[in-house]
Amino acid sequence: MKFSDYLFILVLLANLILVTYLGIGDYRKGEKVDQSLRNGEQILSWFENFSQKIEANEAVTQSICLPLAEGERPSKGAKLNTWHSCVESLFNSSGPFQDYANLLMPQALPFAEKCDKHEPGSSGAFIFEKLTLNPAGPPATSPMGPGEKLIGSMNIRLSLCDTGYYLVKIGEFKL
Amino acid sequence: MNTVPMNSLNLRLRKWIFDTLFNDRIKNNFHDQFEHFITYMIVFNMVGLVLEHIPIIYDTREHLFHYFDLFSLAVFSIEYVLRLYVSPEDPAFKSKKIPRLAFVKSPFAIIDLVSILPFYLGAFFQADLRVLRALRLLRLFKLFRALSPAVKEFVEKNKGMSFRYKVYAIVNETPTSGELHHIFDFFIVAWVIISVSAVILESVQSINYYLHTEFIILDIISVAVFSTEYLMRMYSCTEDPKYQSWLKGRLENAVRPTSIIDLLAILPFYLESILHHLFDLRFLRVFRLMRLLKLARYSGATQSLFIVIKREWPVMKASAFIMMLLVMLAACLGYLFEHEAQPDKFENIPQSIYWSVITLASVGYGDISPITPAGRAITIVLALLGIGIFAIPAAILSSALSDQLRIDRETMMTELYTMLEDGVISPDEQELIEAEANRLHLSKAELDRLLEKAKVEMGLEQGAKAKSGGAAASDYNLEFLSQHSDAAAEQLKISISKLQQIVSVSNRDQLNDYFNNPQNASNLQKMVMQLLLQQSQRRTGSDGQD
Repeated sequence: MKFSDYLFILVLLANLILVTYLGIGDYRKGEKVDQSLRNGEQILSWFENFSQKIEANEAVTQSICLPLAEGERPSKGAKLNTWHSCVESLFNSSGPFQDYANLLMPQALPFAEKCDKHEPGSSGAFIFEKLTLNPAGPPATSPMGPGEKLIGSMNIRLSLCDTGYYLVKIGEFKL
Repeated sequence: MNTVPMNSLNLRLRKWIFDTLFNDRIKNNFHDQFEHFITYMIVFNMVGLVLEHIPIIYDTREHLFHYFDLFSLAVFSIEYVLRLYVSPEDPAFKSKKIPRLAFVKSPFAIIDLVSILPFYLGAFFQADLRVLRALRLLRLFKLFRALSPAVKEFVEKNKGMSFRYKVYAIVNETPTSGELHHIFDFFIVAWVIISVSAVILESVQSINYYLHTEFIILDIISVAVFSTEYLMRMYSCTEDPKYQSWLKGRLENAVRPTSIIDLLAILPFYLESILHHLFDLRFLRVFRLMRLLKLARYSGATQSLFIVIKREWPVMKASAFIMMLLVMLAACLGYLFEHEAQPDKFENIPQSIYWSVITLASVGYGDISPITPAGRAITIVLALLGIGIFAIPAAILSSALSDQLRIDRETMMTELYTMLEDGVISPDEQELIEAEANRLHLSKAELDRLLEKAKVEMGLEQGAKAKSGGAAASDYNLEFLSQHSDAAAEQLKISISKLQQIVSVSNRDQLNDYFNNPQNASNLQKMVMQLLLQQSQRRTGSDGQD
């Protein structure tokens, strides 16, 4: 075997090591996305449980997430719950999702308004979108802004913003 | 009393099983099919083993996996028992004192046994199910039964060759490549299909949701396989006389379409992994589908198409130029007549170009359509012209493709003539012919017809040579005919026709007198002559009646 043959084997091995190294990085990110999806499923089931309790007029712990009942008029001077305060209370240190962090961007919030490649923090975040039913076609989606008032029978879609800033749908719930 | 017939039956059965399933020296038996079936079973077992670790697939289909496992076990057990039974017929063990014992002690038999034995033992003893499952991995070693002879053959054929040449012989078809090259090709094709299927399924969100990490693993393995293949091709390309220079040759090889496709198949992975912080490279993901183009290397049809396009390029260019002129002219006229009436649809000339292409190509989406009388009149002309103009390249390509096929077949015929020059088609030549026929998509019947044609023509040619070359050449012709009964029959037919012609133009009485003299002709010659004369008389009589 010549020197060039050894060099070729070396390049071959180096390439395999590089692919493995980059691949492990990708795999770990994939695992984080998987874990985030599992967390998302927990959030979804929490909200479904929450809605059932509201329907059954049972007491709920997160009263800040209580929506105004459908058809009911807010009393004068009473403040309506907003989405921002609700979601913050759920993810803060005393909320039910306190352990859920943004696994892809640990320094960013675990939830974001939209999945945007210009906002690196949105990668790995949970995205809540309001669904507006459209009889003629698929429902229209719009971001749940911080000032969004919580009104009964709101259809919300929960997705995860993945590594490539694509939305991965987890599920839908009714508040 | 029945021992002897039973023994003979047993021997015959054993030989029949060996010849049908295990004898690789017999051509038209089921050896290849059986080996392929076992190989596929091993591969499916491995796939099953991987799928069992995906809860979403395994949990709801546990019973199917169990049945498949039982089926595999049955197949591998039957295979082992059959191999053991026919081992006295196997040349590898035939000469041993106890052939079956020699078989049991052979490495492949041990692998075969180890891959099935734990499951039988598990039925009698308490064993950890996970250990039994892990032991199924041993079935992977059964693949060595196919790989080992190929490696041995490759090592033997490439004895004394450089390391680089050996790499070249693995990735390219050479006289010394052997079966190992085919296995390598099969491996690459299999990975192309797996990785492209993974890319397609990845886009289905309901599947990707559950198999996200599995797709990542598949992509990593694909890149490892394809990048290794690319490096092997780049390193060894200097063995090709066209790319001998170590740098220039490699650069020239790197800009070949197939090499560019190979590079595009792996580049997105590296770029996306390394540069994702700097650029948005999500669009590169779709380039993973370019891996499908790697299959073009293995398809003769694609090569024929490239040759045809290259050959017909000047005509195609002219046709494209006319098409472009027509599109531009139509777009300008459309804009002129329709812009005022529909400023939102015929907003500018580029938008009109879109309309004219859709109309000329007879697609007619209908999203933009003319409403003015002049615009509609132009559309009528355009639609009529479009049928002809767009059909030109298609017609050129189709006629050139059929031409190419004819040329390929003629080339094959020339090769057949060359192979038939010695009068015999050796097994190597037969293999070459079959490979070429496969490339040209010729059916077995077509190939047989071409072979027959070549044999007859060769026989005629040699017959003509014999005529001009005298007795020596005639002997050679007989030697050829003795080995080709079909050609001999054809030759005989021609000879009889010639005899009939001679008889018909000769004086029958004189011929009769000549052949009736025992000194001039033998008995057989006289009888043949009389038969020919009778035939000739009958024909003359029937002609007279007509």
